[in-house]
Amino acid sequence: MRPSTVLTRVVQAAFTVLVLGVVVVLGQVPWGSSTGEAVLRLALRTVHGKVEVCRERSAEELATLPQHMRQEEVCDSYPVSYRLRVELDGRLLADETIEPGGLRRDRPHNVDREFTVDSGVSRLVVSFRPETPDAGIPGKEAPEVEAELAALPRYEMAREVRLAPDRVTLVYLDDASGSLDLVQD
Amino acid sequence: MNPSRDGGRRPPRVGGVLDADLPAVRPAAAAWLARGFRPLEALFNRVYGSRWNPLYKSGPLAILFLLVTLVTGVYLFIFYKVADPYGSVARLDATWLGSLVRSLHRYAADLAVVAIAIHALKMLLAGRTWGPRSLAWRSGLVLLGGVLFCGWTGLVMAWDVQGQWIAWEGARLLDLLPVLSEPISRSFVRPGSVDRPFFFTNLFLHVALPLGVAGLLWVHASRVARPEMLPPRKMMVWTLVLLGALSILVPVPLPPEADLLARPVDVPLDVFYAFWLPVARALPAWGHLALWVAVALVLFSLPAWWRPRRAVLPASSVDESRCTGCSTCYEDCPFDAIAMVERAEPSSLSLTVARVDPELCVSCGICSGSCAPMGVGPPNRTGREQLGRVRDFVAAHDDLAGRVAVVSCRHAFDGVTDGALDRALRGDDGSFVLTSGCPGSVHTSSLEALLSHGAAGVFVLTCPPRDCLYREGPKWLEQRIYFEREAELQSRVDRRRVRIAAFGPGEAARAADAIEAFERDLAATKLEDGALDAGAQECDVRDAYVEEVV
Repeated sequence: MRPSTVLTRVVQAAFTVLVLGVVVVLGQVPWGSSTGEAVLRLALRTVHGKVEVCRERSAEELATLPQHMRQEEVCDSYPVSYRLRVELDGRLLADETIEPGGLRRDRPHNVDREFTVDSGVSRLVVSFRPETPDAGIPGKEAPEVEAELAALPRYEMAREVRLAPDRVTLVYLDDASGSLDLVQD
Repeated sequence: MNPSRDGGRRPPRVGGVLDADLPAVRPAAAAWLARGFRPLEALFNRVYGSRWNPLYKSGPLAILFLLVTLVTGVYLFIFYKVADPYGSVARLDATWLGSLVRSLHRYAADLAVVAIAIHALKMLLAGRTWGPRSLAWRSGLVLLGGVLFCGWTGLVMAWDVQGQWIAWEGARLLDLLPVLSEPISRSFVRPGSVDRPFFFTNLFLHVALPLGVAGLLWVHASRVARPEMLPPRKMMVWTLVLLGALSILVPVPLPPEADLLARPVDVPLDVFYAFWLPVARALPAWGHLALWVAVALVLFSLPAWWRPRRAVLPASSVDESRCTGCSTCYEDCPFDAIAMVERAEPSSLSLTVARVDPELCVSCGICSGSCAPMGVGPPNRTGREQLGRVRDFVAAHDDLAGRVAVVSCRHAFDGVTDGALDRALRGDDGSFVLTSGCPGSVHTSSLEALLSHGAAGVFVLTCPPRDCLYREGPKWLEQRIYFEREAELQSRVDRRRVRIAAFGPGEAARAADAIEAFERDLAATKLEDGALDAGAQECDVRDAYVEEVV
């Protein structure tokens, strides 16, 4: 083999190793670094987000319906918003209205929020409660609406939490548990 | 005699146009951006030579890498358990063979994305994205999307720290679409919440999507004739050897298991697939989704606006009074734009006649070079018109006698500018240069005419065959010169007086050396002026060419 050919092969081999090296490095680039901060995550879900307004059908109205559809009582559902409020050591992290999910607002309320906070021991206050609709509910008087809302579940948490650096502290709610749970390591 | 090297004054070079002044085939912005890419291409050419430059085989290499992922994926599938995703991968990775196969799978998947990205970039810079090529561009984008999605599901399968973030951020995007009754991102908020059906669905998608990718490949290649699905054997073998060696020497490490209560800290990110994760974490979900939608809109609409502003090249047409129905143009067309149809009017020439579909024709002119009776080609660029230009050229330059005429593809060196060609011919002793739209469009009679009018030799300078703007130009010209493909260079022409060579960016000096070597060879053979009789020389020259190039 001529020296120039050997040199060419060496250059080719070295260049190939370099290119493959770049591929290897780019295949596992470290992402994210430790900042010592903690994450407070809220994952809440509740199906109790509606008020029903029911009425009796009149005899005339029932007569116009086919036999198999003559249900005496009919109910309309009205979605109810929930108010989410989160405080950490007295500092307000969130205070917002959570609408029910779905295009028709007939799906459960879902909350998925993350807050980057200082690590350490803190006092956490979370409340998630139904909100009185500004426009009221058709067919119901205000006191009646208040009574209906009072019957809906409301969720509260107020406690000391240890927020570990680079770790997530989860406030979790689903209808199986029926209460706000704190999930940590 | 080399004036630039001995300090003498460089004589003026004479230039001409073989097959008409052609408008640009790409937007000005593409030509401008191509200048940025050229150094990389030149670097690869200098190292590997344009014949083995992997950038010119990015499409077939992508398919090869995807095939490797398919084969290795079958092995990995056998050991994967949806009930214990990370554990099953970890157990597999603990074995030598398992680690090797997993590394092969991962590296091949990464390199597939690299190859696809380079392929797309080259098409973009060459202006091969509009007109009849729009379908290939758009189907290619869908293919890229399919490959990326396959990759994401694959990374999620292992359920390591990277997979968890891909799953979660991907779920957040999907939750924005008002089609799901429950947000799926909720599945990834607490330990133990990710269940077996999720991993089963993910596995199903990972296995099923490659079938869709295979179908899309067919669409992607449907507008071209003889699509090249795999790289040349030697390149393929070396690629597989290197991939195997890389997987043995640097096995892909298995990151820690997913931890849903951890912030992303030192997560080993596969940039080729998970490049978007840092952006996703930095933006609100709707902003991230808007970014994807914007990128997709820009890329899919590209054929509509990434095109030359000036009038585009007109499609080829057929002069039926000359068409003999030989079907060579039909066979040679790289874009399947020509069909053989029955003649409307009976003719003694043939029963069938060629017909060009203007919707598919990219006006490469390769049919001009393929037609012995010169009856087909784009307007003003048929073989007959090329011959007329050669005659005008030699009439205007009576000092051509005894000198070399260089016929150069105007796209050589990603040229489109004569400046690049000037550099290639630096040191040349005043060659006569004629540019053509594509070497495949050069009619061999034009080459013969240059010789018969006194040129000592004709040197055809082409783009690397693997990087031809029109796919098969150099290949067909080679065959017409050396292998008697229809519209062949006549046997009376001495092949020693014709040479064809391909050079890419970064090979300008080699091109200049090759032209000088040709001039030296011509001087050494002491050909008689005007002698065209090749006799027994034809076979010798062809054999030498085969040995050297083919």
